Amino acid sequence: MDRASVSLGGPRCMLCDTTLQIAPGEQVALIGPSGAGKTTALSVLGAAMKPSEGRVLIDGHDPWRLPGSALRELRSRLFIAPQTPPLPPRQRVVTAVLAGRVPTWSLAQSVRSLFAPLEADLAQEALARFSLQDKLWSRVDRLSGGERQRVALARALVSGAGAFLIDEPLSALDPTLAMHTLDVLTGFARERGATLVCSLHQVDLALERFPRVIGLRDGNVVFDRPPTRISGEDISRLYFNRDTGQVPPADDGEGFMPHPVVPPSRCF
Amino acid sequence: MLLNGARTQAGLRDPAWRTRLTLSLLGLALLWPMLVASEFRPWVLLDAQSVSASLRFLASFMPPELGAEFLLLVAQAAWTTVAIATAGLTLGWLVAVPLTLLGTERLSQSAIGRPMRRLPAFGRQLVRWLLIFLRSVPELVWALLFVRVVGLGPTAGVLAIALTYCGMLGKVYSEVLESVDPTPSQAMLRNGASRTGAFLYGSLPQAAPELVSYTIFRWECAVRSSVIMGFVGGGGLGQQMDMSMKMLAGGEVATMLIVFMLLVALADRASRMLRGMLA
Repeated sequence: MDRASVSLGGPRCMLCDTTLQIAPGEQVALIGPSGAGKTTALSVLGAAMKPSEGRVLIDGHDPWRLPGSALRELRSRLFIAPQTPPLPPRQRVVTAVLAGRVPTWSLAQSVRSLFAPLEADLAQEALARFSLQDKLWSRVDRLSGGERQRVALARALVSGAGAFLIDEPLSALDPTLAMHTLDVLTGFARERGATLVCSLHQVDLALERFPRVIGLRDGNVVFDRPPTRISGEDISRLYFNRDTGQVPPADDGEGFMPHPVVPPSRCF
Repeated sequence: MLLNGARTQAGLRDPAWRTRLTLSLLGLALLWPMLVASEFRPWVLLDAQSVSASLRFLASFMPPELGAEFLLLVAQAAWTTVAIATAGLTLGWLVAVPLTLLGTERLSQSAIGRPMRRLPAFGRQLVRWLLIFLRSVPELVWALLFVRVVGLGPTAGVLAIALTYCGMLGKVYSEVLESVDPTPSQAMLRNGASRTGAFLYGSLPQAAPELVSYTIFRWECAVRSSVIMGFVGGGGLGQQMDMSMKMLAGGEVATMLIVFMLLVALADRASRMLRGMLA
């Protein structure tokens, strides 16, 4: 489905001259240290970020050359789930899940569904896969972090997209739930013949559940092969971090010390 | 800390502090000529002559006129005023909502993942100019214009409020939508939702209480400005008040002021209630 050759500009590239090909129906895990470009890679694959150089081809089309309506149609077939569940806190779960249907609905249907949910059965079914069926009528702000994350994934399931680009779907889940949730995602994608690309920090799960694992570091593909051909050494080299365990010397020559860029830890 | 206390202190000085100080001093320096230009001399308020004049004016308000006949007249006028404000605001709202959806940058399709295209950016600028034009002309001026077109009466007031308030609503609605967390609406747009879809399912759930309370606040303002337009022949309480003032009937004016307070209190109550329901 995707053939991406991409490099983003700037002094430090988020994704540097990277080439990736993902076939329809494939299941791929993206692993790599924080800041390696996993999210950027997903955004580029999902036509949500225009590469500053190079190009991306989706179904043989460059999305950035498509007219607006065609681009929208293409985006409705590529579901991007960001790492932080993008759910308005005051929304009800049923509405938050059905928001995934909005691209396929007419304006009248979208408005009507705000008053009386249109395809509540679909939402219920998707939630049930994540054992959240009893939360259908709850409000999003009453949910725990892990529940929100799975509600966001339930939205992906109802969307009817042909490719799912999911950024760290397991970051707020306990190990048991993480395994179950990943199985639901891979199982669903297999059922539909849909493409699934997940960025993950759970290396063991990535190696165990995905037929293809891509290691990203500093915007470059370090390896891209089936997990049977990925050694422990590959993994430790991928995650090697010379900054850890080392306190940078205090230096007030420039006024104040910039903080090292660390993505905020997730807490809900 | 103890060893290199002085050095740490230097490193801890807030680098933004100097800018803040400069901007505050600059603000004060600019304020002074404005006070002079506006001939702001608060001490004349305490002058013996002005105090007695003010007291005489206020005393003329007492007691409020509460005769049944007059109350009926005021009730009718208040009804007209509320009707002008409501009709004007509704008309303005009907135009402001689509303009908001068009003008809000956050809801731009073309700006997903790249800088906004030139044509949509120009369109948004046009919408912004239209809103500026609509609200920069005072409703009184619109009313004077419409009085010439549709004649004396409430219609001129309705149209004047509709135009000015459309400009105000459109501007503030956009800003409210741009101040809420963008991730839900951005996620919707990235997944192929339309602008309206992203608005309804991404922005509206977060912005609804703000939008409602601002709209009700504007209704309150519309009531007040329909009174002012009554002075130029727009009908309603304003016209009534104009007559009472010309007849130096302070009691009647007082009664009408009480009606205003009741209307504003009502708006306040409604706003609180709706916010509570939407929270």
